[in-house]
Amino acid sequence: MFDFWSIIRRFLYMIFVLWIVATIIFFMFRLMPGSPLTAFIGTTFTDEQHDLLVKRFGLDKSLFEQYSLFLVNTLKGDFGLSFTYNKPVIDMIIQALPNSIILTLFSLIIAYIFGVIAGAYLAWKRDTLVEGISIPIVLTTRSAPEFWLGMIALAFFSFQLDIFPSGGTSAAGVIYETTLSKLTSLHFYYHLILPSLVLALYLQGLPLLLMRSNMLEVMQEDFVTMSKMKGLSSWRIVIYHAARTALLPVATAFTLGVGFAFGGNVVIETVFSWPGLGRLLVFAVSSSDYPLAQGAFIFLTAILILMNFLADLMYLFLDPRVSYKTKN
Amino acid sequence: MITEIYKIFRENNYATVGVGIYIFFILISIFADIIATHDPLRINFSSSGLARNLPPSWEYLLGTTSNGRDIFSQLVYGSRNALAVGLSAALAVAVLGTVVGLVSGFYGGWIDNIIMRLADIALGLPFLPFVIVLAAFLGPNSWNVVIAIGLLLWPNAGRIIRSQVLTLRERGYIESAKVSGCSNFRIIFMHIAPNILPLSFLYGSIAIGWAILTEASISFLGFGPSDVISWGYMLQDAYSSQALSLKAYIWFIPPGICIVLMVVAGFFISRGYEEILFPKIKE
Amino acid sequence: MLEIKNLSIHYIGKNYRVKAVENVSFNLTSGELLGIVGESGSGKTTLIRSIMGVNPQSAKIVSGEIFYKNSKILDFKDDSIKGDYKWKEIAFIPQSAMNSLDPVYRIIDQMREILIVRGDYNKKTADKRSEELFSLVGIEKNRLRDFPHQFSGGMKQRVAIAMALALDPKILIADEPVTALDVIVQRQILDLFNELRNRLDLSIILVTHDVSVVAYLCHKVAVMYDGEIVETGPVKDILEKPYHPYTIGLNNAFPDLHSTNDFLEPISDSLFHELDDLKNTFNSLSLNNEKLVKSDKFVSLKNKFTKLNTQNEKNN
Repeated sequence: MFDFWSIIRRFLYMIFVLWIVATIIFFMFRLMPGSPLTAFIGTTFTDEQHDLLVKRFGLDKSLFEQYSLFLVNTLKGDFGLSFTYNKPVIDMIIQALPNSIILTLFSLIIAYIFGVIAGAYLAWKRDTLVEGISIPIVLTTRSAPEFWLGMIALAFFSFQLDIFPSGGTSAAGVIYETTLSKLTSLHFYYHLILPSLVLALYLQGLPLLLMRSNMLEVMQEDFVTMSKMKGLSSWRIVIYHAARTALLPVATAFTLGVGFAFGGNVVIETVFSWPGLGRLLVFAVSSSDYPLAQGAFIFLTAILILMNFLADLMYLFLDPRVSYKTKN
Repeated sequence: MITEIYKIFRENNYATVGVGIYIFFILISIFADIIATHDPLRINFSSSGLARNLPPSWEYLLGTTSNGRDIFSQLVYGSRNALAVGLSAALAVAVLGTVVGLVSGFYGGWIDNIIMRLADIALGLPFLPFVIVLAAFLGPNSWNVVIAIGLLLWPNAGRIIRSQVLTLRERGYIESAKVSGCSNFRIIFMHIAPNILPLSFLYGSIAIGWAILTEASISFLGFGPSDVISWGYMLQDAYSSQALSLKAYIWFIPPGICIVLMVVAGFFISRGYEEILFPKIKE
Repeated sequence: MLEIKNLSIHYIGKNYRVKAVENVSFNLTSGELLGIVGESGSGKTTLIRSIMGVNPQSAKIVSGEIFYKNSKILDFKDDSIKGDYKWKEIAFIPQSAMNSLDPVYRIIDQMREILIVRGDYNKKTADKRSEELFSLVGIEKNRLRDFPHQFSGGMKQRVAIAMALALDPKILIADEPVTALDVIVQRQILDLFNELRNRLDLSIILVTHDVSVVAYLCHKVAVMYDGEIVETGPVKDILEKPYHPYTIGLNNAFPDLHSTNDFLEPISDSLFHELDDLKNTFNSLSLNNEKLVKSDKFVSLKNKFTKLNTQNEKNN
């Protein structure tokens, strides 16, 4: 039922965009003030040691060679060693990645489930007082800086009421053996609640408003009027017919939201000292640890582009009208 | 014409409130010198030493920071930065998005193709991380946000405007303008642009809020300029001075509220405008 | 079977009142093919929607009643339709250009929905019935598993007809069923209507602005203009000897394919304004006013139209 060529085409295009973006990143990081090493090395190294380090980081090669090396290494997953930690960048990223993924997915799922239901409800309550009050409230949640909401939450729930921990994925000294043990540990979720709820509060505005406007549009459609003429119950019409069509763009938005939230979570991760990819990037940039910064940035970009691609595919699959057109 | 606009605002609560908030902050930033009670960057001393973390009083309306600076004055002057960044970004998005949309939609062909590919690339870069990296090599600067917004956020406005231009292009009066010998330039600016401008305005107002939020986030992360008072800077200052554990709500809640007001004003205006442009025919 | 009595429906808003349907009365007997002819804005859509019970909130039934098989199913005191007759007794066939089928579900699922939820079928018997219906309207049964967008205009119309017949209704209301179709397909669909009427003993109300459709298919016609029924009677009579200026104008607007006359008469706006003024003068909402009809003004108006008509007939 679906068209392979169209998927292949989109996939290849995604690779193309990834390549262009990687090139941009390459040049961006090369353009950083001074040689990448100056900030790190300072003046305390001798010329000999300086030359050694330059060789080690491949900075003596021509730009073109560096670029090809960069591409190859990126594909291999080799982002070099962190200046500050002297550990492979890729290892640090792999360690931070699950935390970001869990935070993002958790928050998005809560936000979207709430948003979809609330949005459909508000569409039902068109032109009522409930709507009149709710819309400004929702818009306000979208207007508040997430980290500010986080600050308030921390100050109130954590410091004042002492219900929730003030940050991190675990209390000091507690280490999770494996990712699995982390995921199944109640302690972890205890730390996850506050940041994810704050994030969800910020994120729910989009699915809510989107679902509401879709529902309003769909309810005007002819096939909804036909369903009423057939004598089907309002319940049935809303859920089986209106919601089904209205959800399509929301599903796409969710996928896009994942990619977007990954980048945006930087601030929440900082407020709550959540050891994710965003926080890693901030750390890397502020300590001029350019391999780490570059690696983290590349990863964030790749995830975003991948999510855009998946969202594109999803739309292709879910809407029979679109998939039919591409088949022909 | 003026009476028409006035009538629109009267009937439309959202737009009115939004514009009202903007006017409020514009006035505050213009008269900041008069309204503020102290120099926002000045470290103040009291009889017992550094005037740090003082609770609200007649002298320091919202109290002082951990460095002895007057919170209220910081709040007032912060509006200038917010407006400057917000309006510049709005201008950048509106101008870029409109020009791109017009050119892309009107000329089509390979120009359109290239612009759309550029759009995909711009959308492929994660926004906040990009601003962070930009801050790293351009230095902490209020304009990083504006540049980043200009570089990365034009596709949204651009695409919508482009599709609008595509629809308009097929309309009769464009055909007749072409036939009567109007130059392309003239057609674009006299016939198509007036229909597009409302959309530019729409995206511009949303961009203001986006810029302010981003500026706040960047300052919060420590990548903003330290010699300019902004609301984001205030929040960062509060956070790093342990205002949270000190429960100094009076310090970090007001700047956030100001941010919320400015951003929500943008949303309200765009909503009000939308209702004017695309009135929902009530059932 | 179906009786509409003095029905008036107005759209009432904050500072407006639109009299969409004004004092409309007609009835439909068993096995009858009634055509309702009117241009857009004549109120025919509102009328139909009321019978099907789907008018929006702002449409208020100001007066009148609807009877089905002698039981009152709607009156202005209680806005809602009484009884479970939707689709079971009276079904609707939408305009062919309409997006009347849910695009994300296959036809077979949408048939099942009607048959199982509104009827007494189960999945098996529903599918069998769907196959029956498809063969009745002339579509291969393997197309049941297709999605709506996979059908052409004419086919979609047949699907809509099949769906309307699902629960064995006694009355079909068709809203511009052939307007968006080409002439050959139009004929096919209209013939199908006739065949179905004979086989299933249906009554059909055909709502359209196209007089030729009504001329081809219907027994009786009601002409609607500006919310009122201005003429009603057997098709032959009305179209051959029209009484109301509007009907006369309508006749002229659809030239005979055989006529040698090569210009179309526009229905003169100013003449209708004069008609409205006349109604105001006599304080009457419709033409059912003896004094009005006998007035010199009305006679002269009627003459103006009749002159045009005779001229055209002479030229043919």
